[in-house]
Amino acid sequence: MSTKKISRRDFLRLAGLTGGAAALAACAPKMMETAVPATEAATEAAVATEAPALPKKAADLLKAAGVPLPGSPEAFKGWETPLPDVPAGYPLAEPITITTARPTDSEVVFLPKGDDLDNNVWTRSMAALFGVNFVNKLTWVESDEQAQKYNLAMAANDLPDILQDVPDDIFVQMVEADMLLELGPIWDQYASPKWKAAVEAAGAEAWRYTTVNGKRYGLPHVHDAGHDDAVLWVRKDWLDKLGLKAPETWQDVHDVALAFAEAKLGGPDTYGMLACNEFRKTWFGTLDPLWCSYGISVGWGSFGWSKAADGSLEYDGIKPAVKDVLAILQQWYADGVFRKDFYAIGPDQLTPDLSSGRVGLQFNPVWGANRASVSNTGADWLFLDIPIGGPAGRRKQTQSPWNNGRFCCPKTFEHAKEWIELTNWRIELEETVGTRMHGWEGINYNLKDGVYESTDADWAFWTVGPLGTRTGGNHNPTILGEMINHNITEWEKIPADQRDAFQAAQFADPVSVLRAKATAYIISMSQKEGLVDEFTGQPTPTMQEIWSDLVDQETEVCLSIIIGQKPLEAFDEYVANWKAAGGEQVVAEVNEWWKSIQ
Amino acid sequence: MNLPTLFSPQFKAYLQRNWMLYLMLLPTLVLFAIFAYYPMYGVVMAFQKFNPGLGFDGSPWVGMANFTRLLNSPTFPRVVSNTLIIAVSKLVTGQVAAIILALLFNEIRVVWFKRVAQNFLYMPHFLSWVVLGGILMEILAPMGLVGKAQEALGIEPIIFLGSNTWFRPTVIITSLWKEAGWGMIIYLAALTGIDPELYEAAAIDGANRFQRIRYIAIPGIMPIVILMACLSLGDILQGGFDQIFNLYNPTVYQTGDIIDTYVYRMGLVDAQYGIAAAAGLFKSFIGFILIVVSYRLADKYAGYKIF
Repeated sequence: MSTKKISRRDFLRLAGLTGGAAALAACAPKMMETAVPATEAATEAAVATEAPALPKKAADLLKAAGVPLPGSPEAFKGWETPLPDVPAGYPLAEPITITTARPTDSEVVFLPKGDDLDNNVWTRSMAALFGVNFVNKLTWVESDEQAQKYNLAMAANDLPDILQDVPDDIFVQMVEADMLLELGPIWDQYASPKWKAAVEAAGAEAWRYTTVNGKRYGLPHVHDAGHDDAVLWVRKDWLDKLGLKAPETWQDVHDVALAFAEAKLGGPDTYGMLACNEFRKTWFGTLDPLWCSYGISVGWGSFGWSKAADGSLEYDGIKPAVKDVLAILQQWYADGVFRKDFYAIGPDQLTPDLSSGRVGLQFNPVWGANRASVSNTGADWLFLDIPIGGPAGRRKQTQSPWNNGRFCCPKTFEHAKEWIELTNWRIELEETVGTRMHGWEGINYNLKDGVYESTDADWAFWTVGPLGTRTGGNHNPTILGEMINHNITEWEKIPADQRDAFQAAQFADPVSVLRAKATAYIISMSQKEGLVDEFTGQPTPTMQEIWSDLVDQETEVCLSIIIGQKPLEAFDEYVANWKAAGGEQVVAEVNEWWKSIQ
Repeated sequence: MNLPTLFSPQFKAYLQRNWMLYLMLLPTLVLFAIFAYYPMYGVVMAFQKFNPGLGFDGSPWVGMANFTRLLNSPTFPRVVSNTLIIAVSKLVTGQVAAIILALLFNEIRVVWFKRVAQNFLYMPHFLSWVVLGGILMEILAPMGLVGKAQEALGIEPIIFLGSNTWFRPTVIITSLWKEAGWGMIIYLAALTGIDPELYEAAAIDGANRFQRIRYIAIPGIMPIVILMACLSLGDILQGGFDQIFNLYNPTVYQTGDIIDTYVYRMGLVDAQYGIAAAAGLFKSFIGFILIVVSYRLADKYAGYKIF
């Protein structure tokens, strides 16, 4: 029950060593030859049934169609983006249209002017290479909007062909209404070995989110290990100014936060630490390390499930330890660690606090190194490990690399094969150590006299879809970590004057370097410190009925206790109610599921 | 009114005289048919485990299960009582304020001032709660205008929108500010309907201003006051979705969550259509009874009748 998805633009825009998807940074430029022709399996299958046709050179097709090629091989200090061959049979003689559904936001910008989600350099490339036109039938910014639009499309029986990130409840209803295509066997037949390897690397669990009664109704969305995991970020310049040591324990965090707030280093509205109404786990200003340090796993929007001593699953939101953390947070709030109205503010409203330099401590992934705060206020961010002092040691919430949504298709979709083969090609283009893809010159970046400068239109697969969300998705969970480590070590070895423009830009930008180091650090620590929400099944029958009500009450009681509206004892009453109101039934059902997968 | 029988010559004459009125009624009827009567079919959801993919015909029937669940839910009694408290407070304060404002305005003799002031009072009515909600959040935030003022006065800033003590008063007062000017119009109209000779006669008899208000203006608008009070009974379950939705947060669910916001969260956010429809139907049912009662009362005390 934890699929609140927010597109992390900031993560993508770091344009650099951190990889992300914005910059599919890879190794030294000379290793390009390793690009493998796409979809051997698919090609064989096609050859078996159709008249023999040869794979075509992508560059020739693009040039013929007048679509620009990615990369800048001709430019001074440029680089090449090797394009995989287009499999036999493409571009289709009869072009087809595939409709899609996906997230977007106001920061998704396309260039040149006039281009949009449905018509941009990527969609034109796909039309030229594959004869496939992508049209967005529905888009959303917020997750509420996403659920509403899926519901309406479902009620109107007018679903797009590719449904990205179908929410749990809606997925269950779609299966119940027999609206979804069984994608599993089609994928088995046409997906490339590389794609299959990426899914297999995530383990058999990857399919849990999409499987009902043994049938795979969707493709898993595999993404990077540790990609939303937080570290503690602290303003080193503020520490130095006050002569404080970097915080090591939770008590230190509290004391440093108060010292920052009292010294008003960021103006009259300075406060200590970032927090928002998503007080469990969120993508910006999360508090999950505190919860996890007390042994409580957290999900997005509710607490998590963890293994009890007897091997069964238990819901962490009703454990006595929750009360301990609430007591701490209550104290911290009363002391002035957080913004006074943090409970009324969503994670998306927190960036101004960072960029205006009002706050000195935060738990965040790499985007804690906030670019605007550095340029506006000269912030010197330092990343630190999770504080110690909690009974469970240094812990934080980590996501399994596969549990981030699912891709489904309605039964009426006739072009699953084409879609999968196109995605094979796209995956080939992305994310190999040896492939470089930094977008299109004049669109995503400009090169002038060997100097790289990115434009507003960042290159990211999730902005163009259709089978890629924020970090591109559907690549091996560990590839990002490998690439970053590779880049930090290998690119750094290249003498400064021999780096190409892109590499030079990464090392010229201290925020990029900081973020790269933070990413490598986060990935290295996540295995050790991560607590995982163990419940990865579909919502159980009772969950579908009462879970949202229970979670509402959970949110209410926790926030009210933190801000002192309710006494700590209110939590005990809540737990008793929770059990009586059907919580115990949910626990029983979740454990049935748990037994069934052992 | 005795309507002529169908197809009689009188009927023809009647139509010839009044066809224009019927034509003007038509758009309203069409709108009602499309937006009020046609969707009524959807109440079947309240008795189903509704799945949009299966539709009204295919979704399984569950009888009264949704209502049982609703009434057993710890949240529901709370949202009903919140709705009642907030709606009644708004109705009472709104009506009283509108009457007082109308009486005051009626005494203003400088025409330009009256017009300008009236416009200022109406204006907030035309602001949407989405806009106003954002503005109020800023103003009432602990670090906003009000918080800063309190700080300057040495008072511990009150968190209006995060306090179960303050949330309801904040909602009621902001609603009052927004709507009182608009609500005053009907009373102002009633006041202009009072025969000026009554005032003049009273003045000659030596009645002062307050006495004229007390003995002429108030009795003069009393039928309208009673009528409005009776008719507003039908609104007793209208807590004002737009307003609450734009101002509330989980910490004030206890005093601020109303039926409409609950239905919104259940139905649109959590896709629990059956429950949401049941809650909506419950509200409509109570609302229907209240409208019947208010109609009877209006007839009895104000002589107001439609049928």
